[in-house]
Amino acid sequence: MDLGSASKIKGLSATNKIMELLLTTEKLTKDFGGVRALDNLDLEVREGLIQSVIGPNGAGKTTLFNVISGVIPATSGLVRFNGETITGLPPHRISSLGTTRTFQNLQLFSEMTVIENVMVGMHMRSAGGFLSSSFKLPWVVAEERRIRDKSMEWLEMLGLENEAEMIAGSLPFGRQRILELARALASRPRLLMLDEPAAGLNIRETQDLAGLIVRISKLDITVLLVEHDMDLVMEISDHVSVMDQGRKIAEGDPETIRNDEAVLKAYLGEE
Amino acid sequence: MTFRSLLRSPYTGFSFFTVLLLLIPLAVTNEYYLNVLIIIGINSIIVMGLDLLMGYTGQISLGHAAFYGIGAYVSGVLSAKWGVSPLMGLLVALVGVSVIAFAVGNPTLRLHGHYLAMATLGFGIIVFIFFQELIFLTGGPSGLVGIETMTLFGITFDSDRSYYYLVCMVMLIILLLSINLVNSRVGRALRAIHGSEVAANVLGVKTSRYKVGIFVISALYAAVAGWLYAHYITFISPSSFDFYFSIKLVTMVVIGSLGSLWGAIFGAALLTTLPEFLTIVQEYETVTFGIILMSVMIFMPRGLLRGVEDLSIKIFAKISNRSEVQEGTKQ
Repeated sequence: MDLGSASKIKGLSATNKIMELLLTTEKLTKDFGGVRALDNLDLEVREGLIQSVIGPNGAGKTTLFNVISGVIPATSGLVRFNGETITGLPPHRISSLGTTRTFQNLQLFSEMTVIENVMVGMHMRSAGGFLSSSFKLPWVVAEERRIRDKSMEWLEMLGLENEAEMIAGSLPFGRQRILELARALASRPRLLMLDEPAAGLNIRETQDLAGLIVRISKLDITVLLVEHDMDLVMEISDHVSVMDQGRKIAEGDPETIRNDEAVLKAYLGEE
Repeated sequence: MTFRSLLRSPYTGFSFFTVLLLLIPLAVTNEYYLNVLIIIGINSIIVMGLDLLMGYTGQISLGHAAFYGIGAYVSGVLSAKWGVSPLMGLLVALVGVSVIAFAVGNPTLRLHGHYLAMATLGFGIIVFIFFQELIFLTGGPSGLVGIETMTLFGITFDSDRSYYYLVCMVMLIILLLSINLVNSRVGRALRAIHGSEVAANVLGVKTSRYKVGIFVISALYAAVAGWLYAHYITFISPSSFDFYFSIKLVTMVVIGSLGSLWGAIFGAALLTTLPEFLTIVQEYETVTFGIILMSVMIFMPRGLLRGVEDLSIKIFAKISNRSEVQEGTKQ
């Protein structure tokens, strides 16, 4: 199985894995009134890989993420994660099954500190409730300590430890993007969906991001990426799917996609 | 435990505050002042709950006087009509308010912004109408008389001084529980909902559960306050639990500082006592009150507590900057 140039950066660890289907969509359709944003889309995401979804503006990429993560309901069709049908489930239920996502327009908790943002990422891995927290039961105190320590570890891994007590909204944009990533990682997902993570980043920041995504993939996290930045996509992806007007028009490894007729045609319509 | 961690800990402030409250009756013996302090204490309890809902979780309630009133009327009616003990009255009130808040909260908290505000406003008015119209039960607009004075576990709280200590104790317990709650996983979840509800959902926070949960808790706080009020004044009427009081409560939270428990207490204290001070300006009391509120919101939109905090940080920064410059020129 040819994985393209990405394997040179990542090493050959991915090729030795049996690549199971982690996420699939079957005839996934989403209509907004008269506009069909997703048109009978069939997508397959294999475990252990870095997969990208690209396409011109308005292709339906973000809508795809929103439907998969349960933020908006599908009109028809199915989404399956790890064999289970997740279409129609509320977002927090879908996330509890092992997926999480980041947002194109950054959805940080701006008034909370950097470390607190990451600590919320650990919500699903903790259990303190209204009563047990109000009465500060010993097990809750111990759990809080564990949450804080683990969150600090994630910050250290992503180089944010010095800003731990700073208000998230005060960070420069590039650092905020990394924080959103740290927060998503803290939930220990099997599938991490990144919605245009490079948007608003300069060339150097994008390069750092590429390295970061590869490191994440090495942690046995499957990455599904929606991106506009072609260089980033081509450099790190194992597999690329191309969308246009709600449909999948091509897929394969980066090299194949780069030269595909239909893809070039779809992009020629825009700058 | 280092000295620094002691300074940072919210429990340090709490301890000082407790000591302060315990010492006040030694200096203040005037019945009237104790009365005002008791009312401040009662209002603080409601405002703390409202702050958890509005300041921390980012929701809104323009009808919270309703829960205050339900707490007062349930215990008051049980006491006045059937001689039920205040303690039992409290238990029934808490159960009743939980059920009502849960029933109202579930559909209402799916709404956002203006729609949520209108729904809570409507709820508050409906409950007020119940207080006015169920005359056989509540006494209607003339009010309910004959509420028993507070007797708990054999102790009767019939002096202002003893009631002051009772209200303080209840308020401090609630404050402590609230401090614990906001500095926990639940507190973070609530603030996350405020920060970005969609991101909170995606991180596994069941936002509907937390929103309704904190709504019920804030309703329970208000009910406890109502219970304390009913057995203190021993007479209640619907006019204490109307729309204007709901608005006054919101004003207390906002002026004090949203998202700060100390701000809630401060806001309650300020807006309960301000009308007393304003009697000086006589006919211009309402106008002055309005001007003060407007000025605070214009110059310190984050509320007084945060505003003063921000101001002192700015002043401190300016002072240290100036001294740095002076050091620079010296060298």
